Amino acid sequence: MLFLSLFVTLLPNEPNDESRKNLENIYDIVIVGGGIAGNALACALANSKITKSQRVALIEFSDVSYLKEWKPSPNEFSNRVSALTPQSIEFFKDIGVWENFVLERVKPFNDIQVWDGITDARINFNCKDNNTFRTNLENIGWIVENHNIQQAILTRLLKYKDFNFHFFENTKVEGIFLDDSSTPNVPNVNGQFDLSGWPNIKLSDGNFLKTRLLVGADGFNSIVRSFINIESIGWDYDAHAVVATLLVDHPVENGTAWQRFLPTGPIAMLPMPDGFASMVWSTTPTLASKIRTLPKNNFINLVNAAFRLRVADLEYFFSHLEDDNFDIGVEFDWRNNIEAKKTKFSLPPLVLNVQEKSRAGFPLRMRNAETHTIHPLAGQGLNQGLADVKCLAKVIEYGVTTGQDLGNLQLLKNYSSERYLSNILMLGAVDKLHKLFGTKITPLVCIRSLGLEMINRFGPLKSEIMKYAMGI
Amino acid sequence: MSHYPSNSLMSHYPSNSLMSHYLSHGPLLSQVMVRLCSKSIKLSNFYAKPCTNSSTFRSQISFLQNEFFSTISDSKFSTINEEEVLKFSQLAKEWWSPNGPIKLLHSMNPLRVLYIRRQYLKSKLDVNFKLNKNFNDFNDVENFKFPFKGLRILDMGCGGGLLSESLVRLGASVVGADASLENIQIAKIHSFKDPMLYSGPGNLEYRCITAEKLLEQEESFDIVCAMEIIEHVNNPMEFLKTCTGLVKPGGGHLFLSTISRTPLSYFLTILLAEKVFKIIPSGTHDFNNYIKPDEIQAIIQEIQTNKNINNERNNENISNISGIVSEKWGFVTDITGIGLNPITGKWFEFYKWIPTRIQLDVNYIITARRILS
Repeated sequence: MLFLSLFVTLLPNEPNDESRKNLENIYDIVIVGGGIAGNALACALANSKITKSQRVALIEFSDVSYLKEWKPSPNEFSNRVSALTPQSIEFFKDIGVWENFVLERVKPFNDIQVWDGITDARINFNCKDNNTFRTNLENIGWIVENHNIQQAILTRLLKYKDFNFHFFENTKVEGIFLDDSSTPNVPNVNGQFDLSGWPNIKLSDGNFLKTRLLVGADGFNSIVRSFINIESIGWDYDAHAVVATLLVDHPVENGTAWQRFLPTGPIAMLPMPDGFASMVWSTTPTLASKIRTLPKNNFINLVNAAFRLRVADLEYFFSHLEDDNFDIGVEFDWRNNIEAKKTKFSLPPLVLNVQEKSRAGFPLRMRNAETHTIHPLAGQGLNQGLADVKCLAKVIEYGVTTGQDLGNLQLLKNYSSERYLSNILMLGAVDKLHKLFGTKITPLVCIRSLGLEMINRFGPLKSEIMKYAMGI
Repeated sequence: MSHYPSNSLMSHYPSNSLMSHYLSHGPLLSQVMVRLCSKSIKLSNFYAKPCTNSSTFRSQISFLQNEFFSTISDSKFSTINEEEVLKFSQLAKEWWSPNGPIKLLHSMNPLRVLYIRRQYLKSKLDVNFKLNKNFNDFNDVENFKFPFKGLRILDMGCGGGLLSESLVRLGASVVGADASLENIQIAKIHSFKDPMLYSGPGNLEYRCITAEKLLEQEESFDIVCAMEIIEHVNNPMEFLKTCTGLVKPGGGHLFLSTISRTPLSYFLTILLAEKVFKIIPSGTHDFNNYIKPDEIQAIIQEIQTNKNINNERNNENISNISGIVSEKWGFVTDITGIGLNPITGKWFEFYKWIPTRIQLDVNYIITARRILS
């Protein structure tokens, strides 16, 4: 050998305090954002035998104590609800969350009625319809309050808190950066670990976390996304949504989700337990703010009219919304009598009342990246997000099983290649629908009505659409 | 190892051909090689000695001891050392890039780890079945995380440490051996990027050494991996025998992966991959060095090992058995064909029901097991 060992340099066996503190804060996975998606990911990781041993941190800036002691009054429902698909429910069962749902407040539905406001062309999806589903399904979906979902996941999550899982509540992310200071030009000559490629997360409580894998689940103004410079794909619509919790005519069948496409945007009524229903009405911003502030009686009758009357009648109502003396109730009654005689379709139950303070409005966005805020007309934002979470958890499991570095790009490509297409397809489809139903141009209206009717009669196609929407 | 064109098992290469081999591969590599040859005395040689006795995550991170070798005459050794390290860290970056020149190996790695994991677990379950032990032992979390805990594994031809790192993360004590010093430096530099590799229960040691030298030193391992390496050595049969000698007696495993010698493998691995699409550097493979799976199987099952029996218990019963006895080395327990999906770019294992004539035509992995005595 040419090598001559003449003197040996030994490094201290004990790390100094500074580096010791740094190593203490090394995590395998850091999730920023404790919303439904972030919590579900943490839960899926902690629940899996394979990924249980990973060191995970979850950072949520807000105070979640109200969810820990979520005691809803039985006669009140939140206006923020989600329709969970069978796939999402299956996922919640897998990660042990479903048992924590307050099931009295969850309403399954097995029928969807969607119709065109102008022509009344209609499409109907029903579980009992054998043409539509060859699989044996009991429900198409479940309507759940968002708070109910959040508290269910959180309850499960807090059980894991003392193992490898760290929950930073009430903690803001102040910055994310790559560690430049500890990047010597010559790595590891002095026996230090070279963590220059690892993201550093600075927290408002003074902690610095280092992580192999950083997951941004912090919504459409994501700090994680701005760190890695991802442009989100999507559009801002010139539209607002009005939500409300309604009390409806009980005797009418209530296991149905209703949606009517009006030229100003779709209005949907989702069934809730005990004769309640949740409404999502997306429309123009000016109209939305007027609808939100209407006197109670007028509001109730306007919602009824939106589901039952002709578009021309509705437009007449819209033009009189600011007139305090205009009583929509009277107008609605006599017009409805005429319409009711003509219609041969089933209609949603009549709205009897609206829950106090449940009316709210917000602008609509359609965005895609890690976050999903999809136009509510398909109600797919949350479900797509959960499918992403499920996929990511699977990919992480695979990485752990095969001893890979979880921050490895090659591993994570599995995630993006699997989810990207699905997300873009959904985003695109929803966008086209939005544009198609926003028009009043006669030929287009004819074509779309024809299309709806045709799909409705053509079982296999209808079945495929439905399976896609349900994620099965 | 094979992972980089300039890698080879040097003992099988005559030294001048090794030199020209290096020089023919681009300015960067040849430059490094020249430096390696001319200044080899001044190169630093790191190695890591992890502590294994601590229990918490924090204290498990041990600090690494580096040894610097140098000559007295060169008083500026530390600056030269830094230059070299910088160069190697550039090379390491290239080697470890999932889209770099060895991207096919990067995408194959998870599959072969999974294969080793599965085959090892299978034989472990077989043993326990015979011993009538509880199967649930293998279902606990610890075993999921560290299936190779307590095992000593040799990664022969470790290259930049792709397989070695994965195995350490799964709890093994890995010796990554490569004949090329350049590869060993790359592997060491990269291993410093992950504290988990030095936090136990496994540990990692890279050595610039050949299989023959290891055998001379009477090293032995629970598992010997020689992945994608046989086709790059000059005398595959000898190399194979050396590897079998490194496997611990009494049920140790040998994993081999290589390419079969068929028209299809020539077409795919040399014509398409090297010449047409240039996915891998030209000259990486030599068709004459490819081996068919049944050839490997025949060699392995013909190998005889000398066993020293001087057991006193035996003396009571049968007096004349004591002494050196020749016995069969072991047997091949599994041969699986693997393939690359050209659309997704992912490797897959062929299903068992696909005829071996088809699935073993190009890439395959073999498990061989030393006899249980």
